[in-house]
Parts: sequence; structure tokens; C-alpha cells
Amino acid sequence: METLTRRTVLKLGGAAIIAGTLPPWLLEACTSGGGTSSGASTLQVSNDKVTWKPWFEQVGAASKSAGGPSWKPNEFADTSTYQAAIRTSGGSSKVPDLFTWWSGWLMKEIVDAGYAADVSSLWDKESSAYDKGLRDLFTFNGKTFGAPLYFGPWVTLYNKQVFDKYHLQPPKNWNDMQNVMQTLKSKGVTPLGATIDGRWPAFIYFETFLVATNPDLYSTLMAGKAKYTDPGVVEAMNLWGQLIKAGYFTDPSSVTFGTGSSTFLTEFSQGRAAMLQIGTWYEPTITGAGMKPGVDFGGFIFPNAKSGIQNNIIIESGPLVVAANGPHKSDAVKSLGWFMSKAGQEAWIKATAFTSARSDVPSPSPIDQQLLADMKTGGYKQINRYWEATPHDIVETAIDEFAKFMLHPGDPMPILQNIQKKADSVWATIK
Amino acid sequence: MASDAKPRKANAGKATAPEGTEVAAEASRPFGRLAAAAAPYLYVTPMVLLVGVFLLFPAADTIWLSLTKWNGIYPPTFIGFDNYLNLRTDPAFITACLNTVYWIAGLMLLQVALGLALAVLLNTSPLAELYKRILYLPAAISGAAIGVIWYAIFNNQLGILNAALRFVGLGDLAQAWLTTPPLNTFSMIVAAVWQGLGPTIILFLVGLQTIPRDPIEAAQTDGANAWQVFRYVTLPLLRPITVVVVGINLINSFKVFDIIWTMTQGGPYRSSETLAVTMYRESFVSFQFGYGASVAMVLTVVAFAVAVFYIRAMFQRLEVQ
Repeated sequence: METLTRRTVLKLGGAAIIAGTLPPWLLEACTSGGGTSSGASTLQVSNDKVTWKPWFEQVGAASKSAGGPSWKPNEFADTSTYQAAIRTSGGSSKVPDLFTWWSGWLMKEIVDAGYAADVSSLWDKESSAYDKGLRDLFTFNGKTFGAPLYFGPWVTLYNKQVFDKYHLQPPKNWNDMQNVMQTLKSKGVTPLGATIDGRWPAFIYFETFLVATNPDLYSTLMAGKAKYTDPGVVEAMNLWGQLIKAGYFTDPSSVTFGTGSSTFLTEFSQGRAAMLQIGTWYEPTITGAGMKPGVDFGGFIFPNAKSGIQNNIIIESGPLVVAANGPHKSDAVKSLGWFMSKAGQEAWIKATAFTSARSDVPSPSPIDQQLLADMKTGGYKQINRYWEATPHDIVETAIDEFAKFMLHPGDPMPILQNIQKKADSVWATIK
Repeated sequence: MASDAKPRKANAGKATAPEGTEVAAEASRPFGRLAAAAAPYLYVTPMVLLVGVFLLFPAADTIWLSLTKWNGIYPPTFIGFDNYLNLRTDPAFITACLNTVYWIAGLMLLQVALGLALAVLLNTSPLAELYKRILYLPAAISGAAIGVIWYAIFNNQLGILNAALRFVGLGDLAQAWLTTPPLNTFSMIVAAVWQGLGPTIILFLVGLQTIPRDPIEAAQTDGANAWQVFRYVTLPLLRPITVVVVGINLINSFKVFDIIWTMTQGGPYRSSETLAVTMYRESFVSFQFGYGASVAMVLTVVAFAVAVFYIRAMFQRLEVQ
């Protein structure tokens, strides 16, 4: 008999949070087993992506049409609450069948805790259709846990109308990029969008400039084998600071973009700001503002700021995970297998208009088609995004320090020292 | 109906029976004695259970949690007082303490002092009823909605305040209201005062209307001017209600969260966090539940100590008077 420990109470509390957010019919489905004796008719899919609800429903309907269970999304409006719910319920049978998560260190936590089911066999079956680098994002100790829910190369989206107006071309190298920024600034257009709203966007240009100047250092820094105070990091920060001081970025305290509200869209669509470094998942948001991909806006891969550096591209991919302790684990694994198949990905990409992670399913956006072709011909190495690439405790401290730098772009050393202090304490507990 | 009547009759009979007879009858039965002895405990049991489950157990658990390192997934590790020792050198915690002091001072100076001043003015105004209703309206809005409204006012580039300043030719006064510390904390205090002013005025008005006219008229007869009447007669007689108002605002300033979270999330770079926000941030954003619990303990102890000290001091004064 299990004793009533705090963990038990919190697990029940987490389950209660999830249950509290479920609609009554879904709660009934959960408590009754949610299906027939031959398998679940409905799988619950928990996530923190409120605006994705119709997409989950559409792909769930497609799954049902293909003879599998349907999907019932269960959204959390607040990411922190969502993470707390999964963390506290993941070890119990009250966890949802499928849930969205983040790759990298955040994923390692739930894998180590035994919350995620091993789905290596699904990847083995579909190995020819997916990039190995993508699989590596979800692989720990030789086993793969989760399928790519979204795959977003991080690129520079730009306003084509503005570029055409000032006879600018997407830059191929750093000289081109400097010319583009100088020209735009001289014409009264803010070259690049930047914000500290929502906190996380503060890391965007740190990773951009470090990868553009010293990608190897970025990789070693993420793994705790280099220091934030190393000269290469200082160099990248100084480059970033010079560009901030030159007025090449929007006021980070006034503009918003990301997964929440987006005042940047007004600046961008009306040509007052011309470029934004972000994941391709942001394209549907811009399209929603009335701009047509490939016509009104395009995308290019941020050029290296130094010569002789390997071509790199930052990518972001979040997994859809089968709960190892979920009530319908085998049905959920089968359903995830269908989701990874060509039919499943066609349904998902049709619903979302996202960049396709599967090689035989074309991306609907002409921008993505071009970017994927450029990545292939340019031999671009995929590098994991900062948010996922390093322990999250370090990220949480770093984004606040980067925000400070964006508002007060002076000597970067005190900021880097603060981050390194946190990194030292975090790595000391991991190594 | 018939079945209802019988117990009533029986009860009526018991009520009229001589007291000693009933006690003797109860005492003659062991079960009856036990029931009589247990009755008071049974009455308080529901409340004891509620307080125990929802207050004492979580409080005790928070104390234990504050002595551990726990990320919500792996089992907690006991680390003694390390969390508390780390607080001493944590710049975010020190900033949060300072901001909490700003909030206490801000709400005392603006909300209490301004509330009192407006209540005195409204007390004799023919439009008092109208103003009372208007000033009370913000109190009916949730803190989160207040945050959203004032975010739109204070936003650096798109905010109404800066736009208005530029429109009237005072663009030099335009500020980064929410991203310049400690101006961002002061800006949010203004938003909180806007919401809390109405109830403060109402409480002071109630107090003012209970003050007898005799001492005021006596002071006026003795030649006291309006300020002297207020300072030496009205204000001392308002002390009981002032104790309540200051106490409420003191507690509110310790627990303020929703306005800060919706306006700045404690940022930028944790510059506008208070102890309550830091507690939430460490626990539910950084998932450092042990560290967050240690902030919660500090917040609880400080708030409790200040409240007890304040209430005792005020009641001692009242007793002296």
C-alpha cells in the first residue's frame, strides 16, 4: 500500500489540475477508460498551445478516418502551469496519453524520470523520411522518446516590399548584411525586430551572433565545456552591442512578438521594420496579418559574420511524447506512429502550414521550400536552439541578463559573469 | 408530516425536563457520557480538519520543502538551511525585498494618505455619492485586468501616457515607464492605487460619518481653524478606522502579485519583482520548489511579524486613549 507522501499528494494535485481543465465529456472518457475493449477511441493530447486546438482536432479527425483513435486537445493557457501539471502527474496513470514538450535538457528531465515512452521503433520504421539530426534531438542513451510536433529552422524573415523598394537582396555574406542594415537605417526603416516581452525572446540575438561568429564555441558552451566569459562569447556580445547602439533593432521594451501578442506585425507589415530573426513557425502568424509568403515577405539564413566558418542553421523542434504511464500507452504509441507516417504528416502540415519535418511531405510555404533547398545545397549543419540546448536553469538566468544588455548595451562582461556564475553552480550539480 | 411531529414533541419534552434529571439520566448511560464529552470536539472537528488540511499541513510542508532542493520530478534532497543562506547573496531576492518596501511605502503614502484626503473632501461635498460610485468602480475590476489596462497606458512606444505627453508638447517627460527600475515599480504602484483608492475612501468616509459633531463644534468655538480641527480632533477620532485601513493596505502590499505579473512579469531582468513574485517565479517558472518555499517562509514571517507588531502597537494606543 502506497503511503501518503508529498509526492503522492502533488501527483494527485497535478492530476487534479489536469482534470480540472478537462471538459466533462473528456473527463468521463478518461475515467471510463476512454474507449472500447479493443482500444481507446479517444486520446487526450495535453499542450500549452492554445491557438493550435483546431489543428489537433483536425489531425485527430484524420487519425480517426484512418481507423485510429481521435485526438482531444487539452490546452493550458499558461506554460508554467502546464509544465507543473505534467511534472507532477507524469509518474501517475492520470497523465494524458500524449503531451507536447521541449527537446534538449527539458526533455532529458522527463526521460530520466521515466515519464516518456520509448518510441525508437517508430523512428526505425520511418528512418529514411526524417533527418538523423532531428532524431538526435529526442534521443537519450540510444533510445528515442517522442516525434517531431513541429520543425522550425530559425531564419531571418524580411519584408520583400521594403527590400524591393530600396533595391536590396537577401544577404549572402556579412558584408551584404551590413549593407542591408545600413541602407535600411538610412531610409528610416528599423532593420531588425527585437523584444524582451515574454522574456524568452531575449536569447534570440545572443545565439544568432555567437553561431555567426563562433559556432564551435556555441556548441561547447551549451555543453558546459566553455565559459560565458571566454573571448569568443565577449566578441559576439560586443558585435551585438555595436548593432544595438547603431539603432539596428526595434526598442525591445515597446515591441512584442513571439507566441503571444505581436505589435511587431504592424511595424513589419507597414514597412517600418524590415527583418526578424525567428523560427519558421512564425510565418503563419505573419500570413494571418495579411502578408503573402513569397510575395510580401521572404526568408533567408542569417549569414556568418566571419569567413571560413561552416554553414550552420539553428533549428527548433518540439516533440509530441507518449506518456509512459498513460492510460492508453499502446494505443498512443500506434497513434504517434500514424502521426509520423506520410499520411499523418500530410494531415498535420495541411492543418498547420508548418515547415515539414518529413522529406516526402512538401512544405506549403514557398519560403520554407526555398530554405530547405538552401539548407541542403549549402550543407548547413543543424544546431539546437539555445532554449533547449543548455540546462534550463542557466537559460532562465541568461534571458534576464540578455534583456538587461538589450536595454543597456554597455560592457557585456558583468552580464556574462552573472550567467557564468549560475552556469558554474548548475554544471556542478550535473557533472 | 406525522413523522416530523414526533421528534419535535420529544425535543420539546427534553427542553422542559429539569436539568438535573437529564444529566443524571445521561450519566447513568456510559455511551451517553461519552457522547456528551465528545460533543464539543465533534462541533469543532470540521473546522479543525479544514484548517489542518488547507492551512497547517501546507504550512508545515512548506517549512520542510524550504529545507530541500526539489525540481518537482526527482525526490527532494534535504539540504538544511542552504536555501536561506543563498537568499542572503541572491541579487534577485535583495531587489525583491527592496521593491516590497517600495510597495509598502507607496501604498501607505498614496493610497492611505490620498484616500483620507479625498474622503475628507467628499464628506462635505454635495456630489459625494456620485464621486464615491465613480472612484469605487476600479475596485470591481480584477487585478489582472487592471494590469492590462495600465500596461496599455504605460507602454513605452505605444502607450497612451507617452503619446499624450508628446501631443501636448511634453515629449521630454516621456519615459520607459515599465522598463526602467525602480520607475517600473512606482508605475505599478500607481496602477494599484487607482484600483484600491475607492475602498479606502469608503472606509474613511464611514469613519468620518461616525465622528460626533460635539468635539468638532467645540474646537471651532474655541477658534480652531479647519486644519487644526482636522489635525487635533478629526484625525485622532479616526484612529480606529485608520488602524483597519493601514492594516489592510499593509497586508495587500506584501501579497501584491497579479498587477505585477500582468504588467512586467517582474521584469525586465527581475527588476520589479516583489517577494510574492519571486516566490512564484522560483517555484513555478524555474521549478526550484525548495528555494521558492524559502522565499515563501521569509515573506510569511516578515508579514506576520509586521502585522502583529502594528496591530499590537495600535491597540495599545487605543487602550491608552
